[in-house]
Amino acid sequence: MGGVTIERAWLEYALNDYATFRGGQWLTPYGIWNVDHGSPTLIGTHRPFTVGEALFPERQTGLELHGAYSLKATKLGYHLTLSNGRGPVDSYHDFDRNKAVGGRLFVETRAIPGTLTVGTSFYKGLYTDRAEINAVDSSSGEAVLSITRPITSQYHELSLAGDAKWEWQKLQVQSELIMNEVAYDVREQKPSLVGPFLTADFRRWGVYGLVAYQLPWLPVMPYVIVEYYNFSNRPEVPAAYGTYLGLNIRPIPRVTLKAQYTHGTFDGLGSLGFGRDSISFLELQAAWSF
Amino acid sequence: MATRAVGQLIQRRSLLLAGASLFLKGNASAAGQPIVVVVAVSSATSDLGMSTLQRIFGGDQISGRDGQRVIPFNQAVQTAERSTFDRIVLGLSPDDIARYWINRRIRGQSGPPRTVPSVALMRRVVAQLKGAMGYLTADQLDGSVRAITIDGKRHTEPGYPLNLR
Repeated sequence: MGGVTIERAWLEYALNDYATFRGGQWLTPYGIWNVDHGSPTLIGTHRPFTVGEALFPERQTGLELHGAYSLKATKLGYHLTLSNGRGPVDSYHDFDRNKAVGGRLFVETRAIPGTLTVGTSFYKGLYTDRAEINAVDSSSGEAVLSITRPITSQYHELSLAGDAKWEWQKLQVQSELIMNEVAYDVREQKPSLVGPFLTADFRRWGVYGLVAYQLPWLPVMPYVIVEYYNFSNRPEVPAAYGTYLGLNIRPIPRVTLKAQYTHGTFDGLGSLGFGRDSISFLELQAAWSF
Repeated sequence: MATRAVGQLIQRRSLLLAGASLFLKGNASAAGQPIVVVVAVSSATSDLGMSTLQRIFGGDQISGRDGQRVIPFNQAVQTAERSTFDRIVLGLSPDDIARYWINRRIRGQSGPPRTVPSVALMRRVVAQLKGAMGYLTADQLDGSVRAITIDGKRHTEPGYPLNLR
């Protein structure tokens, strides 16, 4: 099985140096990892769990306004977004009339040794899923096809994030803290099996830190990532810790070779015993950009 | 026969020496001279801060004092001028700069400035295209383009940021 996913398809128009309109499908402008996005650019073999769990939508369809203002060695930038929000087919259809809003504010400065970028992001939206029920009504003596699309799941969500990245000579240090809160709409009946691990309304959050150093005599970058991820605010599911050790080798600019060892543990058993075992694995990856 | 072999050897050595001399001359020309940033003679831009220069040639969209969008142009890849400029202005080696632009493309950001293949064409493009900005070594300047100051300093002044360090 394979396939091709269109991750981005947009048009943009620059009004001036401080404002550019973008319309189409775009990557949600939050944090570091989701913007870096592609394997050759990313340092690790896979995204930290905190990013991979999509606490923010990975991409959205709608409008984005972005720009930056520079003052000497410091740049202040922003993104504002209006989109269909998250949904089962959000790239081409919005199942509710409630548009999602989001934004990002960041400061990038070279006024210190190296380059420091600090940012904060938010997303607020309504997720809606619907079923399609086709029925034939012949009570009037004539067969009439009726199509209804009742809501099967609907919840409000709020996501918040903060990130920091410092690059100095061959050293790179970065961290992201991300939170997502889900509240099912009271007008709809709460399903019994929703969200992660049998919970209804929930909050999940995670944080990771990465340190990488590009060796001065070889195109090799050893790195370490540590992570804490809290799946939900329910006692059944213990939080998890992750440690990733790896080598990122870029023999030529277009090719990246990676090797990463991952070790994950849980913070206790949890009431369902889910956290009994730890997990360890080794990954090798080759990425080629063209 | 031995004489002919010695003659060929001398000829080869001469060619090698001539080639080395040309190579050294080409590099010395770029290496000994400061880089100057040039605009059209009629341009309203007369000075740029180093950080603004970094942003212009690092992919940001910047407008000049007259509101005209600045259109940067790079010298050809692997020329001494290009690698010197990338190293001084962006702080990146040729390998680093290649990674930098690939990474920007993957992030969906703007690509590198367009490249012009020769110094003569650089001067013509900058002189004739509104908003164009390029760079040369000081000895490549002529009256068709105008050098601007960087952080208020002319290329002949001490402390000029685009002098070789």
